[in-house]
Amino acid sequence: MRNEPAGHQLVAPISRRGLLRSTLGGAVGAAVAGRSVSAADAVKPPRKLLLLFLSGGASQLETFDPKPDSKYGGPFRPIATAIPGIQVGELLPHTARILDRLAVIRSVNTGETSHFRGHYLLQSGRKVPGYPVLGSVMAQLLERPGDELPGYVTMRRQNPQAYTDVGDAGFLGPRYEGVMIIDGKPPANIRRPESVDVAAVTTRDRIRRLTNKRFLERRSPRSIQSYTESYQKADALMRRREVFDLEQESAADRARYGDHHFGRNCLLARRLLEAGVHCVKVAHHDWDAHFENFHWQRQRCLEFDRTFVTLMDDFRDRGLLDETLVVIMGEMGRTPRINYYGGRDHWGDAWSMAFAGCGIKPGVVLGKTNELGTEVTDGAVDAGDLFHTILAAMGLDAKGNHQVGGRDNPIGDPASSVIQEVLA
Amino acid sequence: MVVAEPKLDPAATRRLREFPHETPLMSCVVDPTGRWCFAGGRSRRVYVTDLDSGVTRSLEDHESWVVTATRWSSPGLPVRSPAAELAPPPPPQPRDVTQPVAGPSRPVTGSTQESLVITGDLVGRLICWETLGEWPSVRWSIETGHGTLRTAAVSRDGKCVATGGGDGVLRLWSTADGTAIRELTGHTCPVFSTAFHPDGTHLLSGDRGDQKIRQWDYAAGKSVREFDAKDLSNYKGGTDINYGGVRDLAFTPDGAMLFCCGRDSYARPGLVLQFDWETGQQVRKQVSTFTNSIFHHLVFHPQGFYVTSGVGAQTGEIWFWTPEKDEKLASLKVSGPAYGMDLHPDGRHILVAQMGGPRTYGDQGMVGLYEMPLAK
Repeated sequence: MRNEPAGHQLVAPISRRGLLRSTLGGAVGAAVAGRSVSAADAVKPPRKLLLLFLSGGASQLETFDPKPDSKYGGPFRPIATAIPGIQVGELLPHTARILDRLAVIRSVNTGETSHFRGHYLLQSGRKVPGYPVLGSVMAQLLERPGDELPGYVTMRRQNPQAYTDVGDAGFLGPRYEGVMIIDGKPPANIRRPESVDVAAVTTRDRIRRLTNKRFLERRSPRSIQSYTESYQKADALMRRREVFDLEQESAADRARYGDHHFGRNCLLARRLLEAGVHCVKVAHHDWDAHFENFHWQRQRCLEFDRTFVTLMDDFRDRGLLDETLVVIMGEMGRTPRINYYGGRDHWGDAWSMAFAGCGIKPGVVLGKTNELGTEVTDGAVDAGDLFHTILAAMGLDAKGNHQVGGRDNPIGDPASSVIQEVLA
Repeated sequence: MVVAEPKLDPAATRRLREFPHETPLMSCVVDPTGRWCFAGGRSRRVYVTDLDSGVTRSLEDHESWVVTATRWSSPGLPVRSPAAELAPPPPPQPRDVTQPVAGPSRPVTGSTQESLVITGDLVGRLICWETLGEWPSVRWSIETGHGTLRTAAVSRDGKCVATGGGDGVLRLWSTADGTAIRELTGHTCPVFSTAFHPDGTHLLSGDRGDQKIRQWDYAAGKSVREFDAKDLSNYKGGTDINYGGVRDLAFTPDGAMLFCCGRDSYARPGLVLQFDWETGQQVRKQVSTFTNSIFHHLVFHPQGFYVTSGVGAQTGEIWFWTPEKDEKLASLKVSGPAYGMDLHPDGRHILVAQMGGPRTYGDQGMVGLYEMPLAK
């Protein structure tokens, strides 16, 4: 099924100069804010995080929590899965086949029905603004000396952009902002222009290093180190620009991941995670089906289902799943009630998420909703709990602290806790 | 066969009665005899209403929402009109009782006449009903096996029914027994509308995504040409969904003109496009003033006008047009969003499948029976 519009404009949102500027500012910012969790406190296992963010809000009734006998159940049928007695919507036939490799939570209750606040809440585990999102937290906590690539890369389509870009690093500063890939295009100006001579670049770099060395002999090294670090990162990004080049993947892989944005971004996510990026977020647009939800969800599920299972199989075969946590999330679910346009609207009171990979107990289905799907009746979890759980699955402790301006600031909301039932 | 003489006055159309149901409705068709109204919507039920008595039976033969319905009969079938007043009800029985249908009913002994209704649902169940018996009964019921069904139409000779849906493939099935005849591939998007040309040779199909109308020589299994209905497109790059689509297709009785309907933009009014059959060119675009609407159905009347039904912001309307003018002939607000519509075989009545209930979220339905009076 074709889903790609002809003539879609490809726009690259970030330039090498922009990256240099942001990482330089970030380095200074981080120095001011402190480096949060000390090296001794921070556990840094070689784990990676892949967020598959169903942006706009997928319908839980058409995916992980079907209600076939409810008047709000919709037209599609439930199907059996690899977990005996558990059904999912028939729009996810491939996912159903591997459901025993996932942990599903059917009792997410965030109460949030705003795209903007939902994006932030689900990624930061907080309602209060200013906290870093998961990708930025990972970029910081998992950072290692010698990291060349950005710790956090986030990918989305060109539109809609408003509610997907929610501030990212917060008080951690721009150093840990996600590098954004839009429409699959690598950061702009990542390639040396033909007109710039290699010898001239080499000479200029030698002069720069000598100048820095002489300058450092008589001054505090911090600002120079920050500059040097940022320069090295930009330089590394240029040298390793091939990680953004999907053409280097086989035609077979590109075909099986799917010739659409989500498929291409998932394949790129694999490249980036294998290359050393700590967290990749792939935003799958757009699930916000206020109008003709059942046509819409079907289109989205057609893309998601096959690509997701391809990714799961591929990650398993490559051994990536042992060290990668895969999270299927969104900013909200959709109303059980169906509006006059055949749409489902925003719903935060009872919806679903799923996890797979490292740190997760597979084959678990946690929580229940009532007959109509309007309320959680068992095992309610909120965004703070999910944040703690994701960190725990990554081998990190959300009860630890960031150090902001010399003061401790809890990494996760202290009022929330880990959802033990889904952890290995 | 739609009959309508003498001259009607569509602008004076009025509501005769409504048949309420517990399901928001999305489709309806009157059987060729004019007695039974089949309606379906957001449930697995088909509501069959006896237009003489108002008695309704709900039949649970489908597996999902019943969103498409069509009919066919052999020539010369007598047609009855709905009575001005409902007949005294038969012995009491609860409304909407689910009752299994007995074995196939057959026409009067010795008759070769046929009267069929075909209904389709969103998981691919297609059912052929016979309507000449005491109550309609199932001739055959098949799982088409390729996902959602959105549209069905019966060929002029009654030998096959064409279906289209989510996978974009047209499929032809025998009306005799439901066996598959052939597939027609070419659409790259879901198919939402089908119609057979009066010449008996060609099938038309409209999609949602490219807004292509494809013309097929269906017996030969060949695509003949395309009509570009891009004015019915409303692609939103951000959502990667086309809000538009070719929602319905219809011909003038002589086949000289093709009509299609839908809308051209989110939050814009519904509209109709006209194509010249011979040249394939779009010759007129008729835009309604029905705000935030989409026209889901269109039927052409033998007296030279046509009717569209649509859904607006929690409202429904039916519009009357003539092909020669950009402006409407008349419009009528109905009780709720009007997803389904059919012209009664007598040519004087219109049935509209609607939704009703609380603001924003419909949880009930009704079939409205409307009458076009004679012109003064």
